[in-house]
Amino acid sequence: MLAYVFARVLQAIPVLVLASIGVFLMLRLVPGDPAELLAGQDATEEDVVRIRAQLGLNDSLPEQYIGWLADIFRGDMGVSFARGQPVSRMLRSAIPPTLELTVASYVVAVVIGIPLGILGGIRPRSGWDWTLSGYTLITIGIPGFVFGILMLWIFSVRLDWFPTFGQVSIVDDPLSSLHHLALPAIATGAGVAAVLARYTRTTIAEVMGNDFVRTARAKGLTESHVVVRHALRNSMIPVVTVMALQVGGLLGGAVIVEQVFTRPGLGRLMVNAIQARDYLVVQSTLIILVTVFIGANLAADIAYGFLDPRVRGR
Amino acid sequence: MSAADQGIELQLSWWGRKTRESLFFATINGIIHNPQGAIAIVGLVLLVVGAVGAPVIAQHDPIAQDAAGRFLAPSTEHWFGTDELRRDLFSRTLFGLRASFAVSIIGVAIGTAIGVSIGFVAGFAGGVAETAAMRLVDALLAFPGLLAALAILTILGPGVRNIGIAIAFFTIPAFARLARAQMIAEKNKDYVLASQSMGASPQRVIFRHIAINAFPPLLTQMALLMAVAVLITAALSFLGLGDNPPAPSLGGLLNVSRQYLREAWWYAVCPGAVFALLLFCLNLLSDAINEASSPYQRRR
Repeated sequence: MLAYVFARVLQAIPVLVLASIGVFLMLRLVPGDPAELLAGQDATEEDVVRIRAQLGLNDSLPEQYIGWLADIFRGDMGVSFARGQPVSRMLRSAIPPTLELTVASYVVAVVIGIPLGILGGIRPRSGWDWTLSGYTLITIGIPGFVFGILMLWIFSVRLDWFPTFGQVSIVDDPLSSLHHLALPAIATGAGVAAVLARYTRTTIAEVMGNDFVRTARAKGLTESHVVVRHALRNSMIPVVTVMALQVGGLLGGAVIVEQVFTRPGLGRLMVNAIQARDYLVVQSTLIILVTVFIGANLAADIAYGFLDPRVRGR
Repeated sequence: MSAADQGIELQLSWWGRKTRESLFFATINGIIHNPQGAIAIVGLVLLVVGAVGAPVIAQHDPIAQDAAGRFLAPSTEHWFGTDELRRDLFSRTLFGLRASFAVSIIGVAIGTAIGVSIGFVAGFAGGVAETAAMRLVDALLAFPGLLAALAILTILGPGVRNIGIAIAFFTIPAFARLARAQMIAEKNKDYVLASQSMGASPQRVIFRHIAINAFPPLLTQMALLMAVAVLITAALSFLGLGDNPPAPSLGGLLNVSRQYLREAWWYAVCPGAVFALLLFCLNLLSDAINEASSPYQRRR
């Protein structure tokens, strides 16, 4: 098992390195002198010279890359020229709201998706199965941000059940925080729930056709026992993998849904930074999101090996 | 049943004439006969006619601020109502749809051409070239679609044209992978060996023989990526990264509508419904192509 985890981690490293080189080169690909870009439009000549020295733009590209990585590991990501704050401080205040939203939408996705998939999978063509198909069709047509606007209109504006904007930290005031989180989390999680449900349905339906399920039934076990103890166990392995793979989708969804509900977070930070051409902020946000995404894929691989001994042998 | 067997089957096609069905027509036929496919085609034809014919169909200028009032509710005069600047929302939705189509089609077409070429050549050549190309593709896939698009917009700056480039960019790896897999599956089949032994050049073998047999899965992928492209285009303009106001876009309309939910529900709901219909039809179409081109699924 340890050897398997080790091998997977080793495989993930080159991908992470390539991706970080991509993010690093981003600033160098922007037409123009990076130092002048970072200094902004009304910068003086001294500012540009200072920034050039700070970024080590006089060094070779590989040296700059190594220096940049080292700075990130030290938590020093430079100073945002648009807001004059250290980028690391901006990130520290933007990460918790996005994390809250991602975790909450994950819960929504699992709570809706897995049971719906199981119910549809154990009895194909039953009422639950049709509910599942209908649900999938709706979420395909109505993406998270459109769904978010619809809910905002119905539940916040019309019925006034939920706040229309903002975020409250879960630590400061859990109830108010959940009140603000509910709609954004549903908007982000609903689509992922459909992916999970479809996947669960397929694997359960496959497993239910196996001989061991027939044997379990022939032994006279109750149907719920057959489903929970025999079928679920064998069908959850691929589902766990898919759950980990959805983290990227959830993060991307959260970035847009934050805009719908005017929530602070990484998405708003990045969008504002792109519009203000605040490159250091975009670069730092991207490297965090990409690392999380690659990490989630790695976690999926490892979870798969953990749950299914056959994978480890390969 | 292999593709070659289907090719010589005599069937009554939908236009009622006995034809010798090629794989292409078999697929088209399958899509039309599938209820899902039929719905998708009807819906898409409506939307395409609306988008292409926008200048003729829309009775109002999408930019002119000439309606009788702000936030007029939908009526026979203004089908989708009017917005905060007394502009007709039906016209703005049609022109926004037109812009979405243009960006997505151009982006996906360019990305497909590049991706399929990379995949075909890599699969056909094999060896070091293949490994190098595929590692690069893997690295591209490490970025989820939206993040890649955001990175590209950061480099090139916001704007409609750059969204098209971003779409082409994330279309490439998906197609390169699929095309390579198709090429590897096809390249050792008898018909390829036959044409090679007759002295056909690699280009001719790849693009004249293999490409045609590898096309149904690529078509499915294209329909699916069109849906993704439309979605990402709308998401980016929703984030305010694609518009050049006052020109309308689907995402831009939805973004502004958010501020006026209290005054004008139709501002969000009407463009949102058109957008949902578009996504819905594209997804149904890709399912239908998939079913039509895979004999196993068709027989179910």
